Amino acid sequence: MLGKGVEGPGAESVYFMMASAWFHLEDFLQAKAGFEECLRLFPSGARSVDSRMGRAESQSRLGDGEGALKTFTELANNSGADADFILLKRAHLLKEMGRVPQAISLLLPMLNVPLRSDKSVQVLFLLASLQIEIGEAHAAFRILRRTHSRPDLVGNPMHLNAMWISVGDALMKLRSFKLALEAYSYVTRKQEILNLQRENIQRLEQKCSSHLAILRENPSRFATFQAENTALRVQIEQDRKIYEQVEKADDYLLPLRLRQVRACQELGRNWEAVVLLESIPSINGSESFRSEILHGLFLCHAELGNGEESEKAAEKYLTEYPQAKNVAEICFKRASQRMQKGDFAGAETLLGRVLQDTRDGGLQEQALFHIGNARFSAAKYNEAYASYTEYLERFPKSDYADEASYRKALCYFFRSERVEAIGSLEAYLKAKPEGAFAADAAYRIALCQQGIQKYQEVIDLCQSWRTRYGRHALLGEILALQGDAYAALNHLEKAAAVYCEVLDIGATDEVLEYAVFEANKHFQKLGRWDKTSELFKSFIETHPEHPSVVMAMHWLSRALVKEGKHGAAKYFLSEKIGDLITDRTRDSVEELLALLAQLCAKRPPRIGASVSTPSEGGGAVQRQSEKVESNPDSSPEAELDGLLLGRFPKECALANARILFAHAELGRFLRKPETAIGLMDKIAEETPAVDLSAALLARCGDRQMIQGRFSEARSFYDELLRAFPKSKFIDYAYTGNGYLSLMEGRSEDALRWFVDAIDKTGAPSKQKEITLGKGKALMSLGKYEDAKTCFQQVASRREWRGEATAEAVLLLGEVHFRKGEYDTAVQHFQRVFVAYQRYAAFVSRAYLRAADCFEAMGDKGKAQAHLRELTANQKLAVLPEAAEARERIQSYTQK
Amino acid sequence: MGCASGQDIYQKDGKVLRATNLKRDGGVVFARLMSQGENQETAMVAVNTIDRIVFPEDPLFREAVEHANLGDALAVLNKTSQARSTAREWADINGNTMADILRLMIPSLIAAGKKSELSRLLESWVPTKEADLETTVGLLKLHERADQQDKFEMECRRVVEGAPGTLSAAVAWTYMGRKALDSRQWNSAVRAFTSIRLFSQNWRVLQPVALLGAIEGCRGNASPAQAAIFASDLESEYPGSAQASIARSLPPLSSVSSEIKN
Repeated sequence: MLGKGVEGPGAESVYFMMASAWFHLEDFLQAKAGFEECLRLFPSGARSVDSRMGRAESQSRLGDGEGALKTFTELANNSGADADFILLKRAHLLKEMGRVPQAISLLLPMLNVPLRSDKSVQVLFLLASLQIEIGEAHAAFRILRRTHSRPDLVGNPMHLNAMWISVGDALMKLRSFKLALEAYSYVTRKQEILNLQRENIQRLEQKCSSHLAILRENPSRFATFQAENTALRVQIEQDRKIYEQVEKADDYLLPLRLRQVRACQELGRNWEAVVLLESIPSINGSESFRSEILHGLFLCHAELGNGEESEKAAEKYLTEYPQAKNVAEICFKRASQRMQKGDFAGAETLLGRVLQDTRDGGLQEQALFHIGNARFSAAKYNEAYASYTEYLERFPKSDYADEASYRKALCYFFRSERVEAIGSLEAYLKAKPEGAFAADAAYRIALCQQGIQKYQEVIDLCQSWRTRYGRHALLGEILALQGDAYAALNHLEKAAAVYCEVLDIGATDEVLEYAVFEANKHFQKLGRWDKTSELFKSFIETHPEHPSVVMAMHWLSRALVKEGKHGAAKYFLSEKIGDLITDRTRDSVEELLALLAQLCAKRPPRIGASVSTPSEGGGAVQRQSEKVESNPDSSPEAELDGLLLGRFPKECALANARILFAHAELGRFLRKPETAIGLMDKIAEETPAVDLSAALLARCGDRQMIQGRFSEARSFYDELLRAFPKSKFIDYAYTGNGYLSLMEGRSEDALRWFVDAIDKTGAPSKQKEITLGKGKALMSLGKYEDAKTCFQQVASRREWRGEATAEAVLLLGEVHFRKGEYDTAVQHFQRVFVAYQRYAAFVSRAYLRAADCFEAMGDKGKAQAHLRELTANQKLAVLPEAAEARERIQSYTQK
Repeated sequence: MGCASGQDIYQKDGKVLRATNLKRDGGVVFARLMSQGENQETAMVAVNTIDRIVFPEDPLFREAVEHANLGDALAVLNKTSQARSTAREWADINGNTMADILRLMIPSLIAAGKKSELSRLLESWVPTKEADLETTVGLLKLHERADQQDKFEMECRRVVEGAPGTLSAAVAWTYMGRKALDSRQWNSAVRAFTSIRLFSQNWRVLQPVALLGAIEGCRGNASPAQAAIFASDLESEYPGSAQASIARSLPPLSSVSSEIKN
């Protein structure tokens, strides 16, 4: 065409198309020359922008980055060009030329412009990836988050997913795990993208079809729908392409989940890691990661303290992958768990496997040391000694060498081989006078001397220990031991004086309690109630939060009574109660109230009550007490009110409830059980649970249970659980809820409550009820052997003898009855109505069940005889069981 | 009579009317048309001739979304109930925003513990074309029936396994978690609530519920460290939510939990 002399605007198109053809044939040299010729001839022609673009692309393909960059920069100033596209091209070129910071500077101003096209989203993607390249993952994260404002501009969601994963990975490298987790959370699941795309395509196709339907009816509207349908078809085509791309793309869900798990583990978010790990097996292709999943589950559950679940994961791992790399690590950690649970034999076995399986020297060293510890804890001192000896031979310079050699010496000590222990401990002290266990070794030498009754040596050793180690953490034990040695030599005053020193040295609660109460014992022997008062006053002042402080108050008030200061004792208690009565978190208030009630219940002597001289520091107490010295003529109730009322705001519901409680206790001491019960019920009925203390919630819950007000009982127990999880009364809540579940027929829930009551609270107050309840729950679940164990436990405990024993024996009969062991069942039922006649309800039930047993064995005569015996018993005549017995006898007669 | 403003009416014959204001009276829509001059023309359009209406975004709905993002279920309900009364008039016309409103309302009613309101909503439910919404409503109706609890639990499991990112899954996990808490199956509770956090992040108004549930599960299971992690998330992400204030009022657990654990 050019040869034919085409000129004018048409010629520009011909030149441009020629250059484009060269470009598409990948002859970039010719293409570049063609575009340049086009530009030379038509510098401002209609195709000038496209020609420049072509020239720049050709330059770029020819490796002339600088030239291409220059051309794109010229284009950037041309209003006819797509600004975002040019910007992208320039930044890509700079990136390829290794000028990343320059590329970033070029793109950064785009952050100030609202997103306007899919290109501008691509600019963000490029900028984010450049930031990652220079280690600025946080900046990349912020940049990428801008896409949230215009998700509609994100052409391909898979690209965005890939970007979020890259940003997440970069953040992981920088240990920004929380942000990495957030980045991973923005990744959309492949299936969700496919669903969305499918819905979009369907919607657009429906629209097209509806347009066509209208056109069929009304062809005159062709012009209206033509443009819209064309645009719709383009959109459908684009969406289909994306759908196909997404469908073909790898499912990144598995690698994503593994990354999330790692981030969660690094953050200590073990529960999230567990849930993620558990979701992985349902993902295609996850089979090859099974060992990692099991390993991860084991570690996370172990961290969470989920013993059972970590054990399950570990068992599976060790069974399925006995040769895998983490076997030794898993065994070692399981051994630690076993040690914590007190399963030392299990720990020893696992540690033995670690020794066998691992070549890791560090792990071997630790395993051998811990084998010694497991044996030591299991009181297998000979074997422990051998382990420590082997350990010290193999790893003489290890971190644990000092401890191992000390534990060797302790093996003698704990075998009670005192002379050998002294020699061994002295050898340790000689070898390591500054060793970490030197003070402990010296203390134990003194203990050994005490064991062989060399009391003077003990006193001397303790004295020299005090000189050598001063205020060491063991000082309390040393003082207590020295006191014991003095006491053994009958130097009671010296003993008491040394025990008293423990008060001021910050000893542990246990040692302090021991020393204070030992001192008290010796002061009593010496008849020094004044010293006892002084001791406990000082103890209460210096250790107001000590668990034994209430016991101390008890002793102080007793000492005051012994000194003839009845009024002072009561005043002291009322003062302490007054300080605490409105504080619902103080468990001890109820104990003090009970003590005060007990003192009020005892009437003071009418004549000759001497008033002692106030002791030093106790003057205020004495003087005040004189005002409240009880009047022998006033009633105990009036005296109690006099001591308590007016010490707190009248509108305080808790204080009012506590006063009622004090009166209930007084009623108990005065042998007026109805009054006591009535007052407790009044508290339960009138005081909202949220106002009560733990002790009152526990008691009110139980009272409501007894009266059959189950929902009210539950509210007290729930409040106790919610507000006082640490209280010593917490087992009331577990027990109460357990019995409520039993009554509602939810035996599994009940069992869980009872098991938790023992595992989590230690059942300080309700062990009997819990054991009985657990047995009942097990029996309802058909676990007769386990139930039997519980009932036998209750029936055999001497200190629980009484109503619970009667019920346990009856239930043992019930277990045998349900198992079809009628002979044995009868023996239990007969034991109930022979040995526990006081408990009419159980006796009457026992008669009925015995009759059932005989019926089941086909001995109707004996069955009738038992029923007659029940009806003949006047005490039982009013019970429903007696009525049932009468009906059954009648039916026998009729037959 | 319903009222909406600033919308395009696409008619079945291809005509598009741009209206500044719409009013509906039964089967007829009165559209005040946009025009250059001062005199605005009002067109009367039969509902059965309308293909769809593109409604502008309702500011009440936008505010409801913002409240949902902050985990404030009561505020969401306040806004959505107003938005719903407007949207209800247009519920039979394509393009209506009813489904979007209900998608916000249902989880908010659950989060705010508004059982009776939820029951009323279910009783008067008009089916939508949204599969997820219908599955959710199906689940909730099963939950309402005391004799269908086994089936409900089975359905919950099926839903969470099949479509973890959906509203129905988030709702199913919420009920599974609550049931586990009630029966003191702490680990199951934490699993369910954590799943909402991990797989159903889009349902923002349920996130504080999930976090509080996870905290309660961890407390029950004597895992104070994990409880503290969830509490810190709740405090930092949804400090104004009702669940955050409940979490603040819970007594400390650290010492007793570690004692129990050891």
